[in-house]
Amino acid sequence: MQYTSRCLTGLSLLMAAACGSATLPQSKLIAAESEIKAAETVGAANNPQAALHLKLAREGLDSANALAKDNEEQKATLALLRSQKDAELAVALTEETAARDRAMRAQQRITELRTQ
Amino acid sequence: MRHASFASLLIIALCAGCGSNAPTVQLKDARDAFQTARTSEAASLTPDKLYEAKLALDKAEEAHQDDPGSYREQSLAYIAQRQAELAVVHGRIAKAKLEEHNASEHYTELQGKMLDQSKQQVATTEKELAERENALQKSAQELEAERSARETAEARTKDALKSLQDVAKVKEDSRGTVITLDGSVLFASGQTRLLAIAERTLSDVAKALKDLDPGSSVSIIGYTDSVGSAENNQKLSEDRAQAVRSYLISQGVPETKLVAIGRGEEQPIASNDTAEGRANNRRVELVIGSGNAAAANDRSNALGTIR
Repeated sequence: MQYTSRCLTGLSLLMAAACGSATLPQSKLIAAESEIKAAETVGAANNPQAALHLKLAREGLDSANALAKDNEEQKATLALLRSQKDAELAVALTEETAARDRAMRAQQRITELRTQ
Repeated sequence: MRHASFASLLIIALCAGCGSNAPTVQLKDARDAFQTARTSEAASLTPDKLYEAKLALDKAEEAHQDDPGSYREQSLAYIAQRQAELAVVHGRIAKAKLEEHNASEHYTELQGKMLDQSKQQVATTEKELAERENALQKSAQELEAERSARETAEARTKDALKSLQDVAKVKEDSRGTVITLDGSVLFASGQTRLLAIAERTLSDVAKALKDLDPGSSVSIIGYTDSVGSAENNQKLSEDRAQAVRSYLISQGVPETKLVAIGRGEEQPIASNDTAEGRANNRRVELVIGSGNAAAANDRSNALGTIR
Protein backbone atom coordinates (compact mmCIF):
# COMPACT_ATOMS: atom_id res chain seq x y z
CA MET A 1 0.00 0.00 0.00
CA GLN A 2 2.75 2.36 1.05
CA TYR A 3 4.84 1.25 -1.96
CA THR A 4 1.97 2.04 -4.34
CA SER A 5 1.51 5.42 -2.70
CA ARG A 6 5.18 6.19 -3.11
CA CYS A 7 5.07 5.15 -6.79
CA LEU A 8 2.10 7.40 -7.42
CA THR A 9 3.78 10.28 -5.61
CA GLY A 10 6.95 9.76 -7.64
CA LEU A 11 4.92 9.57 -10.85
CA SER A 12 3.10 12.80 -10.06
CA LEU A 13 6.40 14.48 -9.30
CA LEU A 14 7.79 13.35 -12.64
CA MET A 15 4.67 14.61 -14.41
CA ALA A 16 4.88 17.90 -12.53
CA ALA A 17 8.50 18.26 -13.52
CA ALA A 18 7.59 17.54 -17.11
CA CYS A 19 4.91 20.24 -17.02
CA GLY A 20 7.30 22.79 -15.54
CA SER A 21 5.81 22.69 -12.01
CA ALA A 22 7.88 22.72 -8.78
CA THR A 23 8.52 19.37 -7.15
CA LEU A 24 7.37 18.74 -3.60
CA PRO A 25 10.06 17.36 -1.25
CA GLN A 26 9.26 13.67 -1.26
CA SER A 27 10.12 12.96 2.38
CA LYS A 28 7.85 15.79 3.62
CA LEU A 29 5.07 14.74 1.28
CA ILE A 30 5.26 11.14 2.48
CA ALA A 31 5.40 12.31 6.11
CA ALA A 32 2.25 14.42 5.70
CA GLU A 33 0.39 11.69 3.84
CA SER A 34 1.41 9.04 6.40
CA GLU A 35 0.22 11.20 9.25
CA ILE A 36 -3.12 11.80 7.53
CA LYS A 37 -3.43 8.04 7.00
CA ALA A 38 -2.62 7.46 10.68
CA ALA A 39 -5.30 9.96 11.73
CA GLU A 40 -7.84 8.18 9.55
CA THR A 41 -6.80 4.80 10.96
CA VAL A 42 -7.17 5.78 14.64
CA GLY A 43 -10.66 7.11 13.89
CA ALA A 44 -10.09 10.86 13.98
CA ALA A 45 -13.16 11.30 11.80
CA ASN A 46 -15.34 10.17 14.74
CA ASN A 47 -13.95 12.80 17.10
CA PRO A 48 -15.31 16.29 16.30
CA GLN A 49 -12.17 18.22 17.26
CA ALA A 50 -9.84 15.70 15.65
CA ALA A 51 -12.03 15.61 12.54
CA LEU A 52 -11.60 19.36 12.14
CA HIS A 53 -7.79 19.02 12.16
CA LEU A 54 -7.96 16.06 9.81
CA LYS A 55 -9.92 18.25 7.41
CA LEU A 56 -7.33 21.04 7.78
CA ALA A 57 -4.55 18.52 7.12
CA ARG A 58 -6.20 17.34 3.92
CA GLU A 59 -6.75 20.92 2.83
CA GLY A 60 -3.08 21.67 3.57
CA LEU A 61 -2.07 18.79 1.35
CA ASP A 62 -4.27 20.05 -1.46
CA SER A 63 -2.87 23.52 -0.95
CA ALA A 64 0.70 22.18 -1.18
CA ASN A 65 -0.09 20.46 -4.48
CA ALA A 66 -1.68 23.63 -5.81
CA LEU A 67 1.28 25.75 -4.78
CA ALA A 68 3.66 23.24 -6.36
CA LYS A 69 1.73 23.52 -9.60
CA ASP A 70 2.17 27.28 -9.39
CA ASN A 71 5.90 26.68 -9.00
CA GLU A 72 5.81 27.97 -5.40
CA GLU A 73 8.14 25.34 -4.04
CA GLN A 74 8.96 27.02 -0.73
CA LYS A 75 5.33 27.79 0.08
CA ALA A 76 4.33 24.29 -0.96
CA THR A 77 6.88 22.81 1.45
CA LEU A 78 5.54 24.98 4.28
CA ALA A 79 2.00 23.93 3.40
CA LEU A 80 3.09 20.28 3.69
CA LEU A 81 4.56 20.94 7.14
CA ARG A 82 1.31 22.62 8.23
CA SER A 83 -0.65 19.68 6.89
CA GLN A 84 1.52 17.23 8.81
CA LYS A 85 1.10 19.16 12.10
CA ASP A 86 -2.68 19.23 11.72
CA ALA A 87 -2.70 15.51 11.07
CA GLU A 88 -0.46 14.90 14.12
CA LEU A 89 -2.85 16.94 16.25
CA ALA A 90 -5.80 14.93 14.90
CA VAL A 91 -4.04 11.72 15.94
CA ALA A 92 -3.14 13.10 19.39
CA LEU A 93 -6.69 14.35 20.08
CA THR A 94 -8.11 10.94 19.18
CA GLU A 95 -5.58 9.20 21.41
CA GLU A 96 -6.43 11.58 24.23
CA THR A 97 -10.10 10.61 24.11
CA ALA A 98 -9.17 6.94 24.21
CA ALA A 99 -6.73 7.49 27.10
CA ARG A 100 -9.35 9.38 29.09
CA ASP A 101 -11.89 6.62 28.47
CA ARG A 102 -9.42 4.02 29.74
CA ALA A 103 -8.66 6.08 32.84
CA MET A 104 -12.37 6.51 33.54
CA ARG A 105 -13.00 2.79 33.09
CA ALA A 106 -10.15 1.98 35.48
CA GLN A 107 -11.74 4.28 38.05
CA GLN A 108 -15.15 2.69 37.46
CA ARG A 109 -13.66 -0.75 38.12
CA ILE A 110 -12.56 0.47 41.56
CA THR A 111 -16.03 1.83 42.30
CA GLU A 112 -17.59 -1.46 41.20
CA LEU A 113 -15.16 -3.44 43.32
CA ARG A 114 -15.98 -1.32 46.36
CA THR A 115 -19.71 -1.85 45.92
CA GLN A 116 -19.36 -5.66 45.72
CA MET B 1 10.95 74.86 17.37
CA ARG B 2 13.28 73.03 15.03
CA HIS B 3 14.08 70.59 17.88
CA ALA B 4 10.40 69.89 18.41
CA SER B 5 9.87 69.08 14.74
CA PHE B 6 12.83 66.72 14.76
CA ALA B 7 11.52 64.88 17.81
CA SER B 8 8.11 64.49 16.21
CA LEU B 9 9.66 63.08 13.06
CA LEU B 10 11.73 60.64 15.15
CA ILE B 11 8.63 59.38 16.99
CA ILE B 12 6.77 58.94 13.71
CA ALA B 13 9.73 57.07 12.26
CA LEU B 14 9.90 54.77 15.31
CA CYS B 15 6.18 54.16 15.19
CA ALA B 16 6.42 53.35 11.53
CA GLY B 17 9.31 51.00 12.28
CA CYS B 18 7.30 49.32 15.03
CA GLY B 19 4.34 48.96 12.73
CA SER B 20 6.36 47.15 10.12
CA ASN B 21 7.67 44.72 12.76
CA ALA B 22 4.22 43.94 14.21
CA PRO B 23 3.73 40.17 14.54
CA THR B 24 1.18 38.46 12.38
CA VAL B 25 -2.04 37.11 13.88
CA GLN B 26 -0.59 33.61 13.50
CA LEU B 27 2.50 34.53 15.49
CA LYS B 28 0.41 36.11 18.24
CA ASP B 29 -1.71 32.95 18.38
CA ALA B 30 1.44 30.82 18.46
CA ARG B 31 2.84 32.84 21.38
CA ASP B 32 -0.46 32.54 23.28
CA ALA B 33 -0.61 28.81 22.56
CA PHE B 34 2.94 28.39 23.86
CA GLN B 35 2.10 30.28 27.07
CA THR B 36 -0.89 28.00 27.55
CA ALA B 37 1.31 24.96 26.98
CA ARG B 38 3.87 26.20 29.52
CA THR B 39 1.24 26.29 32.27
CA SER B 40 -0.33 22.96 31.29
CA GLU B 41 0.50 19.37 32.37
CA ALA B 42 3.02 19.34 29.51
CA ALA B 43 5.53 21.28 31.66
CA SER B 44 5.81 18.42 34.14
CA LEU B 45 4.62 15.37 32.19
CA THR B 46 5.83 15.91 28.60
CA PRO B 47 8.67 18.47 28.76
CA ASP B 48 10.14 17.10 25.49
CA LYS B 49 6.96 18.09 23.62
CA LEU B 50 7.07 21.51 25.24
CA TYR B 51 10.66 21.88 24.12
CA GLU B 52 9.70 21.00 20.55
CA ALA B 53 7.00 23.69 20.76
CA LYS B 54 9.63 26.17 21.98
CA LEU B 55 11.91 25.35 19.04
CA ALA B 56 9.00 25.75 16.61
CA LEU B 57 8.12 29.13 18.14
CA ASP B 58 11.77 30.21 17.93
CA LYS B 59 11.77 29.43 14.21
CA ALA B 60 8.60 31.47 13.73
CA GLU B 61 10.14 34.36 15.71
CA GLU B 62 13.27 34.17 13.49
CA ALA B 63 11.10 34.27 10.39
CA HIS B 64 9.36 37.28 11.87
CA GLN B 65 12.71 38.99 12.45
CA ASP B 66 13.96 38.09 8.97
CA ASP B 67 10.85 38.95 7.04
CA PRO B 68 7.98 40.32 9.14
CA GLY B 69 4.50 39.45 7.96
CA SER B 70 5.80 37.01 5.35
CA TYR B 71 4.14 33.75 4.24
CA ARG B 72 7.04 31.96 5.89
CA GLU B 73 6.39 33.69 9.22
CA GLN B 74 2.68 32.92 9.01
CA SER B 75 3.31 29.27 8.17
CA LEU B 76 5.98 28.72 10.81
CA ALA B 77 3.79 30.47 13.39
CA TYR B 78 0.90 28.21 12.39
CA ILE B 79 3.15 25.19 12.84
CA ALA B 80 4.40 26.57 16.20
CA GLN B 81 0.82 27.00 17.37
CA ARG B 82 0.00 23.41 16.43
CA GLN B 83 3.19 22.21 18.11
CA ALA B 84 2.16 24.01 21.32
CA GLU B 85 -1.32 22.51 21.09
CA LEU B 86 0.27 19.10 20.55
CA ALA B 87 2.34 19.59 23.72
CA VAL B 88 -0.85 20.38 25.67
CA VAL B 89 -2.68 17.35 24.28
CA HIS B 90 0.28 15.02 24.90
CA GLY B 91 0.43 16.38 28.45
CA ARG B 92 -3.23 15.51 28.94
CA ILE B 93 -2.66 12.04 27.41
CA ALA B 94 0.23 11.47 29.84
CA LYS B 95 -1.98 12.60 32.72
CA ALA B 96 -4.78 10.24 31.67
CA LYS B 97 -2.30 7.37 31.34
CA LEU B 98 -0.93 8.17 34.77
CA GLU B 99 -4.44 8.19 36.21
CA GLU B 100 -5.17 4.87 34.53
CA HIS B 101 -1.93 3.41 35.86
CA ASN B 102 -2.62 4.66 39.39
CA ALA B 103 -6.20 3.41 39.26
CA SER B 104 -5.02 -0.01 38.06
CA GLU B 105 -2.49 -0.22 40.86
CA HIS B 106 -5.10 0.89 43.37
CA TYR B 107 -7.51 -1.70 41.95
CA THR B 108 -4.93 -4.46 42.33
CA GLU B 109 -4.13 -3.32 45.86
CA LEU B 110 -7.81 -3.14 46.79
CA GLN B 111 -8.47 -6.52 45.22
CA GLY B 112 -5.58 -7.98 47.23
CA LYS B 113 -6.93 -6.52 50.45
CA MET B 114 -10.40 -7.86 49.74
CA LEU B 115 -8.95 -11.26 48.92
CA ASP B 116 -7.04 -11.23 52.21
CA GLN B 117 -10.20 -10.27 54.06
CA SER B 118 -12.12 -13.06 52.34
CA LYS B 119 -9.38 -15.56 53.21
CA GLN B 120 -9.45 -14.38 56.80
CA GLN B 121 -13.22 -14.72 56.93
CA VAL B 122 -13.01 -18.21 55.47
CA ALA B 123 -10.34 -19.14 58.01
CA THR B 124 -12.47 -17.76 60.87
CA THR B 125 -15.53 -19.62 59.62
CA GLU B 126 -13.54 -22.83 59.24
CA LYS B 127 -12.22 -22.43 62.77
CA GLU B 128 -15.71 -21.85 64.14
CA LEU B 129 -17.01 -24.86 62.24
CA ALA B 130 -14.18 -27.01 63.60
CA GLU B 131 -14.96 -25.81 67.13
CA ARG B 132 -18.65 -26.60 66.66
CA GLU B 133 -17.75 -29.99 65.24
CA ASN B 134 -15.57 -30.70 68.28
CA ALA B 135 -18.33 -29.56 70.63
CA LEU B 136 -20.81 -31.79 68.82
CA GLN B 137 -18.45 -34.75 69.04
CA LYS B 138 -17.94 -34.07 72.74
CA SER B 139 -21.69 -33.86 73.31
CA ALA B 140 -22.20 -37.08 71.38
CA GLN B 141 -19.52 -38.78 73.48
CA GLU B 142 -21.10 -37.49 76.68
CA LEU B 143 -24.53 -38.65 75.55
CA GLU B 144 -23.11 -42.05 74.68
CA ALA B 145 -21.42 -42.29 78.07
CA GLU B 146 -24.66 -41.26 79.80
CA ARG B 147 -26.67 -43.76 77.78
CA SER B 148 -24.17 -46.49 78.58
CA ALA B 149 -24.24 -45.61 82.30
CA ARG B 150 -28.03 -45.62 82.29
CA GLU B 151 -28.11 -49.02 80.60
CA THR B 152 -25.64 -50.35 83.15
CA ALA B 153 -27.71 -48.95 86.02
CA GLU B 154 -30.89 -50.38 84.57
CA ALA B 155 -29.29 -53.76 84.16
CA ARG B 156 -27.99 -53.62 87.73
CA THR B 157 -31.43 -52.67 89.05
CA LYS B 158 -32.99 -55.45 87.03
CA ASP B 159 -30.53 -57.98 88.43
CA ALA B 160 -31.00 -56.66 91.96
CA LEU B 161 -34.76 -56.91 91.77
CA LYS B 162 -34.60 -60.34 90.18
CA SER B 163 -32.66 -61.58 93.20
CA LEU B 164 -35.51 -60.43 95.47
CA GLN B 165 -38.21 -62.43 93.73
CA ASP B 166 -37.54 -65.44 95.95
CA VAL B 167 -38.25 -63.55 99.19
CA ALA B 168 -40.83 -60.93 98.17
CA LYS B 169 -43.37 -59.98 95.54
CA VAL B 170 -41.95 -57.61 92.96
CA LYS B 171 -44.24 -55.73 90.57
CA GLU B 172 -44.41 -52.57 88.51
CA ASP B 173 -47.22 -50.08 88.92
CA SER B 174 -47.82 -46.37 88.38
CA ARG B 175 -45.62 -45.53 91.38
CA GLY B 176 -42.59 -47.45 90.06
CA THR B 177 -41.17 -50.81 91.13
CA VAL B 178 -42.95 -52.09 94.22
CA ILE B 179 -41.50 -54.77 96.52
CA THR B 180 -44.17 -56.13 98.86
CA LEU B 181 -43.09 -57.88 102.04
CA ASP B 182 -45.62 -59.97 103.89
CA GLY B 183 -46.27 -58.41 107.33
CA SER B 184 -46.51 -61.78 109.08
CA VAL B 185 -42.99 -62.67 107.94
CA LEU B 186 -41.60 -59.40 109.33
CA PHE B 187 -43.41 -58.81 112.61
CA ALA B 188 -45.33 -60.74 115.29
CA SER B 189 -48.97 -59.69 115.64
CA GLY B 190 -49.26 -56.17 117.07
CA GLN B 191 -45.46 -55.87 117.38
CA THR B 192 -42.99 -53.46 115.81
CA ARG B 193 -39.86 -55.49 116.44
CA LEU B 194 -38.52 -57.40 113.44
CA LEU B 195 -38.54 -61.17 113.63
CA ALA B 196 -35.23 -63.01 113.28
CA ILE B 197 -36.36 -64.54 110.00
CA ALA B 198 -37.33 -61.06 108.81
CA GLU B 199 -33.81 -59.82 109.27
CA ARG B 200 -32.52 -62.48 106.83
CA THR B 201 -35.10 -61.46 104.29
CA LEU B 202 -34.33 -57.79 104.79
CA SER B 203 -30.60 -58.48 104.47
CA ASP B 204 -31.29 -59.75 100.96
CA VAL B 205 -33.42 -56.69 100.30
CA ALA B 206 -30.61 -54.43 101.59
CA LYS B 207 -28.13 -56.07 99.22
CA ALA B 208 -30.46 -55.50 96.31
CA LEU B 209 -31.13 -51.89 97.30
CA LYS B 210 -27.40 -51.16 97.53
CA ASP B 211 -27.05 -52.33 93.94
CA LEU B 212 -29.75 -49.96 92.74
CA ASP B 213 -29.02 -46.97 90.53
CA PRO B 214 -27.43 -44.33 92.82
CA GLY B 215 -30.10 -41.85 91.67
CA SER B 216 -33.02 -43.94 92.91
CA SER B 217 -34.99 -43.51 96.17
CA VAL B 218 -37.02 -45.96 98.24
CA SER B 219 -40.23 -45.20 100.09
CA ILE B 220 -40.93 -47.74 102.84
CA ILE B 221 -44.69 -47.78 103.42
CA GLY B 222 -46.31 -49.70 106.28
CA TYR B 223 -49.92 -50.98 106.17
CA THR B 224 -52.12 -52.83 108.69
CA ASP B 225 -55.43 -54.67 108.60
CA SER B 226 -58.54 -53.09 110.10
CA VAL B 227 -58.42 -54.93 113.40
CA GLY B 228 -58.20 -52.46 116.28
CA SER B 229 -58.54 -48.70 116.24
CA ALA B 230 -57.49 -46.73 113.18
CA GLU B 231 -55.26 -44.56 115.36
CA ASN B 232 -53.40 -47.56 116.75
CA ASN B 233 -53.09 -49.04 113.28
CA GLN B 234 -51.67 -45.79 111.94
CA LYS B 235 -49.07 -45.72 114.71
CA LEU B 236 -48.29 -49.40 114.20
CA SER B 237 -47.77 -48.92 110.45
CA GLU B 238 -45.46 -45.96 111.00
CA ASP B 239 -43.36 -47.78 113.59
CA ARG B 240 -43.08 -50.88 111.43
CA ALA B 241 -41.99 -48.80 108.38
CA GLN B 242 -39.46 -47.05 110.57
CA ALA B 243 -38.17 -50.40 111.94
CA VAL B 244 -37.60 -51.66 108.40
CA ARG B 245 -35.86 -48.37 107.46
CA SER B 246 -33.56 -48.58 110.48
CA TYR B 247 -32.61 -52.15 109.70
CA LEU B 248 -31.87 -51.36 106.05
CA ILE B 249 -29.68 -48.43 107.12
CA SER B 250 -27.84 -50.78 109.50
CA GLN B 251 -27.20 -53.03 106.50
CA GLY B 252 -25.47 -50.24 104.58
CA VAL B 253 -28.29 -48.76 102.52
CA PRO B 254 -27.68 -44.97 102.35
CA GLU B 255 -29.95 -43.13 104.78
CA THR B 256 -30.72 -40.42 102.25
CA LYS B 257 -32.27 -42.96 99.92
CA LEU B 258 -34.86 -44.14 102.40
CA VAL B 259 -38.05 -42.60 103.71
CA ALA B 260 -40.54 -44.31 106.04
CA ILE B 261 -44.28 -43.72 105.77
CA GLY B 262 -47.24 -45.15 107.73
CA ARG B 263 -50.60 -45.63 106.09
CA GLY B 264 -52.43 -47.61 108.81
CA GLU B 265 -55.42 -49.53 107.55
CA GLU B 266 -55.81 -47.34 104.45
CA GLN B 267 -55.53 -48.72 100.95
CA PRO B 268 -56.26 -52.40 101.68
CA ILE B 269 -55.40 -54.78 98.88
CA ALA B 270 -57.80 -57.45 100.07
CA SER B 271 -60.95 -57.81 102.20
CA ASN B 272 -60.50 -57.42 105.91
CA ASP B 273 -63.45 -59.79 106.47
CA THR B 274 -61.36 -62.92 106.00
CA ALA B 275 -58.23 -64.07 107.75
CA GLU B 276 -56.43 -64.46 104.41
CA GLY B 277 -57.45 -60.95 103.32
CA ARG B 278 -56.29 -59.39 106.56
CA ALA B 279 -52.97 -61.24 106.25
CA ASN B 280 -52.49 -59.72 102.80
CA ASN B 281 -53.33 -56.26 104.05
CA ARG B 282 -50.65 -56.46 106.77
CA ARG B 283 -47.67 -55.63 104.66
CA VAL B 284 -44.71 -53.36 104.06
CA GLU B 285 -44.15 -51.99 100.57
CA LEU B 286 -40.86 -50.66 99.27
CA VAL B 287 -41.57 -48.34 96.36
CA ILE B 288 -38.49 -47.65 94.25
CA GLY B 289 -38.52 -44.48 92.26
CA SER B 290 -36.08 -42.15 90.62
CA GLY B 291 -34.77 -39.09 92.50
CA ASN B 292 -33.54 -38.76 96.05
CA ALA B 293 -35.43 -39.50 99.23
CA ALA B 294 -35.99 -35.80 99.96
CA ALA B 295 -38.02 -35.53 96.80
CA ALA B 296 -39.89 -38.66 97.77
CA ASN B 297 -40.38 -37.07 101.15
CA ASP B 298 -42.06 -34.09 99.52
CA ARG B 299 -44.35 -36.35 97.57
CA SER B 300 -45.24 -38.40 100.64
CA ASN B 301 -46.04 -35.46 102.92
CA ALA B 302 -49.43 -35.28 101.35
CA LEU B 303 -50.01 -38.99 101.81
CA GLY B 304 -49.05 -39.84 105.36
CA THR B 305 -46.61 -39.62 108.24
CA ILE B 306 -42.92 -39.67 107.52
CA ARG B 307 -40.03 -40.42 109.81
